[in-house]
Amino acid sequence: MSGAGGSTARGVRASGGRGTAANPSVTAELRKLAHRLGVAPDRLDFLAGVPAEDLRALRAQAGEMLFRADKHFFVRIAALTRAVPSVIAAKLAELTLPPLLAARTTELLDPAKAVDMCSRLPDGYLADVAAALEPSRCTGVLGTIPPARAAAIARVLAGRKEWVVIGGFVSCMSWEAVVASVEQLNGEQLLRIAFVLEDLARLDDITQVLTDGQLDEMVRACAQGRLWAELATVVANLRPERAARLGERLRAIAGALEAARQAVAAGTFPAPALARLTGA
Amino acid sequence: MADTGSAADLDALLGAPPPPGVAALSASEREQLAQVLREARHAQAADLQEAFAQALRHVPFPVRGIVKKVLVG
Repeated sequence: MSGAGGSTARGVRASGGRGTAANPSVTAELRKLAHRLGVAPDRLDFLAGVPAEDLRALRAQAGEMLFRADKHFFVRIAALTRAVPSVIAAKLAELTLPPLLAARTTELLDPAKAVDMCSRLPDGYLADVAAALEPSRCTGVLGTIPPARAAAIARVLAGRKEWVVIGGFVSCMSWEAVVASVEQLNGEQLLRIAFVLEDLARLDDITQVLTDGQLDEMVRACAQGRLWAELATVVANLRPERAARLGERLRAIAGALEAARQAVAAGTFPAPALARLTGA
Repeated sequence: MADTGSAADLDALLGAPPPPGVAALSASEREQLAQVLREARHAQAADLQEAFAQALRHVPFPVRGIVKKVLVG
């Protein structure tokens, strides 16, 4: 895969690793910024003291900078793509256009044309293109991707641990596409995506459609993989009844509640988050 | 003076003044950020050049020059 947000193009995955309890929202923003700039997250450690909202604004500025810098390069390719029928443009893209070039071109196409082309391209290629896309520049395209297609691409991206990429798309996809995608993912994957979700307001609704099995996987992933900062982000964005349901799963899994208490004692899981889960 | 220069660098790269929390970084931290941004730009340009060259390899050699001219001017 390539990416001008291009982490994977240069062999760097910005979306892995663990969150920190110290300031999870800053950690999440630093991962997203690292993905956009194609560097490892620890390269941006010197920004750890910058407020999350400023990091978010900086990410938008950096994205605009990268888009502006080479826009002249792909404007003509987009013009050429517009000029030929979608069936030919899609075939040409798959055969000749590397994903990074396809992503930048997609950002300049009319949504209807881009969606038509997407329907003719294989999942693997679209996942490559997705990893290089700037979601905010293609909301019209992402919002109309059919649920089954979105789910197939989400499965491929999750297999590649592209959490930041998936987290960025959730805010642009239709609700039906989100539900279909969520069905494809296990609890640990969902937890990692939730941590870097672009639109945290969707987290509560998403949690509503999770199965008990997925919630159990989330709890086990925390207890075993110590993804407490990720769980804290989820809990902080749930309504009380949804938090209570997750709390039930925490109690139902042997040793999980004790592990959560130990995480609180160790300072890796905020006490208020545990209180929300347990209702204490 | 170093502070001013570094801030101007960031402004020029981003095309606008950075957010307050970034502007408040030390001069060396702002320079570190400017360096990361410059590298990202260069990496993108290199990736695009490579991608374009890769795409052109699929075009028959006799018309490659014409296609290149159409696409990049």
